[in-house]
Order: sequence, then C-alpha cells, then structure tokens
Amino acid sequence: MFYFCVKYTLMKSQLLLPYRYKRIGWIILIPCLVLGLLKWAIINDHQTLTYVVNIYYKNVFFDIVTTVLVAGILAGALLVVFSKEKQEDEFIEKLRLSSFGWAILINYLILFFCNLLFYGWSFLNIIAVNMFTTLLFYIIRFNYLLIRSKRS
Amino acid sequence: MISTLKVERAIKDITQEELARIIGVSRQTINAIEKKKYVPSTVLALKIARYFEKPVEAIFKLETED
Repeated sequence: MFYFCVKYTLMKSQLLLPYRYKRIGWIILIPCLVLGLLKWAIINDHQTLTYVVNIYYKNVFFDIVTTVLVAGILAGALLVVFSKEKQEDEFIEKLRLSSFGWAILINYLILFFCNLLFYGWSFLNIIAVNMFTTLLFYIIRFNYLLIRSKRS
Repeated sequence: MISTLKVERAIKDITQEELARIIGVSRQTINAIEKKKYVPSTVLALKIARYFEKPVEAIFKLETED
C-alpha cells in the first residue's frame, strides 16, 4: 500500500497530500504557534523538566513542553505546506514554486544580516526561531498570492 | 502573448467560473490568463481551444517581443 502511494506520488512528480490534510495542519499549527510564542516571550526561563531514559545519553532532563510545541509547529506547518489546494492546477503549482523561492530567499537574507548584527546567545535565539521561518514565510506568501489572484 | 480568451468567452456568454469548471482548472487560472499574468501550458491551451472549437492560434497569439 505504502509502496503504491510512493510510486503514485513519484509518477505524478508532486509530493502533495490530499486537501483534507490542510485543515488538520491548521488545527495543529495555530494553537502550537500561539502557545509557543507565549512560552518563548513570557515564560522563557521556566522549564518543566522531565526525566527520561534515553539509549544514547543513559538519562536526560529535558523540557517536554518545548519538545511537544516544536513538534506540533513543525508537523502542522508541514501539513499545511505539503497538502493540495481545493482545486490544484498548473497555475497554483506556479504560485507554489515561486512562493518557495521567495520564502527561502527572504529567510536566508534575514539570517545573513542577523549573523552580522547579533552575537552569542541572542544569535542562538534567532537560529531557534529560524527553524520555522522558512515554512511560515512560505505559508504567508502563498496565501497572500492566492487571495490576491482570487480577488482580482 | 496576446490572448483573446475574454472576447471568446463573451461570444459564448460563459463566466470564468463555468469555463474553469468545464476545463477542470481553478477560476484563478482563467482570470490570470485573461489578465496576462500567466501563460498556460500547451495542454491547457489545447483544452481551451477544443472547448471553443477553434485552433489555438485563434485564441493565443505571439507578440512581437515574445
């Protein structure tokens, strides 16, 4: 079954999930993003340390809330980005590709200047946020182009 | 590229929405072609031409700078 799914997607040469996954993605992304921003901005120092036994480190303390929120933001954003529109066609595909290019360019331009302007821990903070910004810039740009082409 | 799609659509008296549904694309695509913001693929151009029962060159023509 999985083999046929992979074969089908490769044949169609587009790695996109069906439209219904987009809604699931939004449902996961929005609460995780809001909670993540709140945690990052307000309660940055307070960590809910959890003890786990890990095969690599024998035993580790880690912040479970951060881990769950990061997983939620990434999973939600990936589902939103890599699922089809209601009516997927060649024009939407063009918008998709141009948005990808735009998002990667803007993301790395910002990172380039941040590298020159911020140092040490503040730069590390920026890198932490930078984990998500490529996907988020893509989502913003793609939806902006989509809404603009719908209106006119 | 010059496109007479809007004119052809007016002659047939069909909306962007209806044409998009018949051809199997989104309404934005038809709109973008009419606004010269998007050049359709050969397959889509042929599909549009087939619907209007005309050769492709009757709907899409090259401009001098193309």
